Amino acid sequence: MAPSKQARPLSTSQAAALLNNQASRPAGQPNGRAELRTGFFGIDGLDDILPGGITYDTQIMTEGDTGIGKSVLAAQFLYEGLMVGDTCIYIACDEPPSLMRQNMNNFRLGTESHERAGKLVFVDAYARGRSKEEHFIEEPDNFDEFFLYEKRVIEAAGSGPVRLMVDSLSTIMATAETPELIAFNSNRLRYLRARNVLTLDTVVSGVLEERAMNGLRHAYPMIVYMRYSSIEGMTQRYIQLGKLKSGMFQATQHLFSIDPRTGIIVQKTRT
Amino acid sequence: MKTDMPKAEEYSLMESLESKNGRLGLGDSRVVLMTEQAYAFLLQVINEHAPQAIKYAFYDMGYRVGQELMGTLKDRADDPERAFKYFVETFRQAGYGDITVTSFDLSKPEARLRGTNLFESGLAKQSGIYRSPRTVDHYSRGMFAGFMSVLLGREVVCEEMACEFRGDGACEFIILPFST
Repeated sequence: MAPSKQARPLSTSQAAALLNNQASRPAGQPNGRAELRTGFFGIDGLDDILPGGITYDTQIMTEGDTGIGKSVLAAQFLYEGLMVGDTCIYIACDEPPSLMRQNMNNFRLGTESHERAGKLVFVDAYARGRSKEEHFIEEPDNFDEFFLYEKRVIEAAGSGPVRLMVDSLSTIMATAETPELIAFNSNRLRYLRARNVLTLDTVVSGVLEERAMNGLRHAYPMIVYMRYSSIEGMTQRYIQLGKLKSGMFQATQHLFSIDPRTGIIVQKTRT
Repeated sequence: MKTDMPKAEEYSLMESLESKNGRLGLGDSRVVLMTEQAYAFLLQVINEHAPQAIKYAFYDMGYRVGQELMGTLKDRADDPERAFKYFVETFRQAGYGDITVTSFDLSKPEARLRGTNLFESGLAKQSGIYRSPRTVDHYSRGMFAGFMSVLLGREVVCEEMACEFRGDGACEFIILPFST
């Protein structure tokens, strides 16, 4: 049998070991880094770059231009979480949660079953006031209120694995002073790390001052940059990984496209 | 719902099989036998060429098969519930897995199924394409959704909430209309 060139398949023993580990150990427990559960984005080309996966105590910042595909990445990140059995929390700041439901429907994912089961939780931080959604944050740019509600939905998820998506963090930070937003985010990242919540925070390029952006970038162990570039007169999208905490930065720019039916397709690399 | 499935003696898929002149027939349809290993090869090859497409492609394929199967079964049953039971029995007898209906309510509408020994979760390990344990029965849930969509006359979606490959006790499915 020819091995797959793109995937890194599990051997039978690896799959069995994973099954045994995950069935017996609550992923929310701080068990030490070596024992932490690992997860994936759910985007093949991107997951190929990180063959060992991402531990659940990791917080990822996705920084990208408007319209680059951060919400598509979010939908796939959540879809992956549902498939592996995580409780997935999506905090919608830029658009109503119904748009993310529609995004997920486009991937033939019916959200209602997962919402009823408590495995998919939408928090409306967009309406800024009362919302028809079950979960909403009336004043999301009040950091105390935001963090309190964020913790509440995470704790309600119980001891199982949780992945969190805030889309986008820059929206609620837009009017805050830099020291205040950095202090707020440092506190929440400490909590999310201790609680082993695999987190994907999106930040839209150009919304925050550069000083604030630098402060934010410094706080995350992993950064995913999503950018446009012009190659031979053609505008293309690329994705790039930065792992600042470990001192690693992967300079490779991975071109990607977005297919409306299958999402982000990461293409051959260029250096 | 009372899950009084059509009994095997009332409906035997195998009795409709006929092999003649290199053609295996199931009623008016031509069928071919495919081993689990061949299906695993199919998964591997698609994974090599278009890994991002697997869950969508197999769901869509199952969806179309479910729609087509509803067309062949609609004359067998005089009401939707009975048609669904025939569908489930056909699914079992065709070797896709042991599936039972745990609830069926047309007024909501909503159906729930529980399966064990489903072929996709059974061969997931040998296909070697999955990075971690997860729900993998995309073809099956597509079939359930396609069948129910024709039955109800509106588009529904089937979600797999638990999967044997993921280490759950059984594969569990919920069929609901799309909602936003």
